Amino acid sequence: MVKTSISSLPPEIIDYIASHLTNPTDLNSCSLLNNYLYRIFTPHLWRTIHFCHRGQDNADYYLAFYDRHRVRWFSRLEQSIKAGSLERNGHWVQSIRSGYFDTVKLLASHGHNLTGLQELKLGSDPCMTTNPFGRLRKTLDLELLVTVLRRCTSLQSLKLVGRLLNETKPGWLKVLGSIPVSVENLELEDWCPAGSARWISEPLNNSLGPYRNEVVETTTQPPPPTLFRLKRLALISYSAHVSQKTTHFLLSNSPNLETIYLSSSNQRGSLQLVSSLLASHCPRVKHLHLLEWDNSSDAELADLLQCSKSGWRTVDMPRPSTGARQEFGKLSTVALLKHASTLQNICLAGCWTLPSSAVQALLSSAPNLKRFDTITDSVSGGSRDLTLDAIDIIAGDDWVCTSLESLQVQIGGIPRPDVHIRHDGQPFTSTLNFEGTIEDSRSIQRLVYTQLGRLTQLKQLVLGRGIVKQQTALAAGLDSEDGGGEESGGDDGGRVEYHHGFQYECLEMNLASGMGLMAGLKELRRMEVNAMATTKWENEDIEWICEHWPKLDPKYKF
Amino acid sequence: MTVILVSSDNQDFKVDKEVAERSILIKNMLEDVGESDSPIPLPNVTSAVLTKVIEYCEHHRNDPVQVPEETDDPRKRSNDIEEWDMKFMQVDQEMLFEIILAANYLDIKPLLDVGCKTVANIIKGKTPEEIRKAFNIVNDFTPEEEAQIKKENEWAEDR
Repeated sequence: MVKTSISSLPPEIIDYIASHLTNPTDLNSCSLLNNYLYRIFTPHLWRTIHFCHRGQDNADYYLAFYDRHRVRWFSRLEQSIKAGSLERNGHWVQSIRSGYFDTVKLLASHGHNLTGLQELKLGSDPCMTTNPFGRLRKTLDLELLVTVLRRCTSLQSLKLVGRLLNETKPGWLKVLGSIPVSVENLELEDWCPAGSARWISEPLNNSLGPYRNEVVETTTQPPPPTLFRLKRLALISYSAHVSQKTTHFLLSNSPNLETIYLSSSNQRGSLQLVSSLLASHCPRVKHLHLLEWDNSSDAELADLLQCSKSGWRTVDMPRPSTGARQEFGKLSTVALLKHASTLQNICLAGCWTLPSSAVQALLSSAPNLKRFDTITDSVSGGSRDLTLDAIDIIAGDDWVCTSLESLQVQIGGIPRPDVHIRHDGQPFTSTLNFEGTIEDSRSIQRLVYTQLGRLTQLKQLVLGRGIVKQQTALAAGLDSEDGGGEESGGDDGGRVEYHHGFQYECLEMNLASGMGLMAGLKELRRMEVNAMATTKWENEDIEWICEHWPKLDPKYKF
Repeated sequence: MTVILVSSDNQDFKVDKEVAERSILIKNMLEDVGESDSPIPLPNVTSAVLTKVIEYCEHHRNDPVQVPEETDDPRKRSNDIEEWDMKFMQVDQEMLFEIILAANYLDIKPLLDVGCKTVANIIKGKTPEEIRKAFNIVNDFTPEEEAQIKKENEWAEDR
């Protein structure tokens, strides 16, 4: 009997093995083994052309990052393509990601076979003056990009990064006009105002004016086709002064846009432009991502939140970490609450300006919510996150979001006469904010647990995520249950210091305080109650948890 | 309830139905036949390999049935192998490929996965020459062919 070896496996199994290899270097090695394996591995190798080096899987590498390894990679790519590889293998290629604009030169002259290209991500060489590796400040011939784009009739995803993103450059409007109508996802990242005639500090002119006509006039081509398939548009590192016309062109030509992703802008007024365009041209837009978009006023946020005709499904707008302001006020809060019936995903981490009553209102009026996260992921974030006040929960209606799978919210406003000292073991220097007996505390807690207990699909519950340095002090002094209202520390009436977001007036999270009311949370897998004055679990608590939350990851059953 | 599986070299294996049904092929067979004591012949699997396969199914008898939740996107697929599975797969190469073939024939997706991941992990980071050596593969390219492929694939080389 012949010994079984890799070459005697049927092609479909080798194909399956190949699908577990993503690094082009490994796939290349396999295609060089023998004729049989060459035929199987070649399509896998050529499916995605991207930078690779020393076993790193750089599937998501940053396109505008340049070092000597990338420079060498690109010159090898040049050699490969000049050796005729695209003529032979181009039909396998589904995705090309390259940080070098010269790639389009190669594709323009050798890429006739790229009939199946679905994804093109293209950087445009170093924009900064610090590149020590040459290839600097070459002119970008956008006409080449037009040639390539016109040929890619099945392109679904297009990402352009860096220096070429500047609408004052000659040929840019023609590039816009040649975006294939097949494109579903378009990302434009790192707009480059360098060399632009206009100053960044110049205030943005928001009159929408006749941009559309201008676009048609400047290109001698017939009017560009409408991007019917475009579902997602991302504008990243946005510089409104060199992208105003582009923004106008894209949004007014994308009638089926569903997702708008806006990230990194520091120009006042740019949000207004996007909002008004979305409101008048994109009736289907329903997913909103707003990240690091600086200095957005209440009115600007309200405009943005009002622009969805079909109702937002996603509102993902964590507060910028750059320290910029993103203010929820009266107008934007009302605008957000109007979408309660459609909202499914909310991320408002760090948005402490959103009032607690609005959070309660959403929980009791948004029946389709799947995710409601208001706690910052990072270690230091805690203290800037909003707190849902137990008073609002008690005064409000029953929570209706019974399909909620993730809830991340700090719940406060619960009197905790049993808490006498700070988490670091020091006495409080001022009184806590809420006074009451342990009976008051427990009756409030039971009402909160009752609301939480309605969320029977919950998989993740995060009530506290801060990191406390003095871990040992955590449990000390928090065990006594006969507190009765005495306060340690001074009585000057000031606010308690919240170190690293430590929560004192929170749920105890044990059976004695009514946690048993959450017995219905059978799907619970993850529960974080860090940096909270929770009461240490007794054996009966742990037994109860094991019985009622069977899916909870053991690492949370401390 | 138990079922009897018969290997290609005519050896009988008595296993719990629950264990045998890790194989979708056997599960479907049992469903088609209904309640029956007749042994199930597996003409493509030797007793040595069947022993290993049953060992795997015994260990994973209580695993939840795999939902096709795992994405088809290879970039998101993890090549991590559970510790027990890793030890289980420490066999000689012939056995490794036999297990893969049996898993494919018997339609035991998680075992096929583990097998293919094991092979992929052996390949990772090796030069063509090292892989040929590891798997005993004979190079049947002409020098010209090999040079041409190397030239065309140069972008994917690790230098």
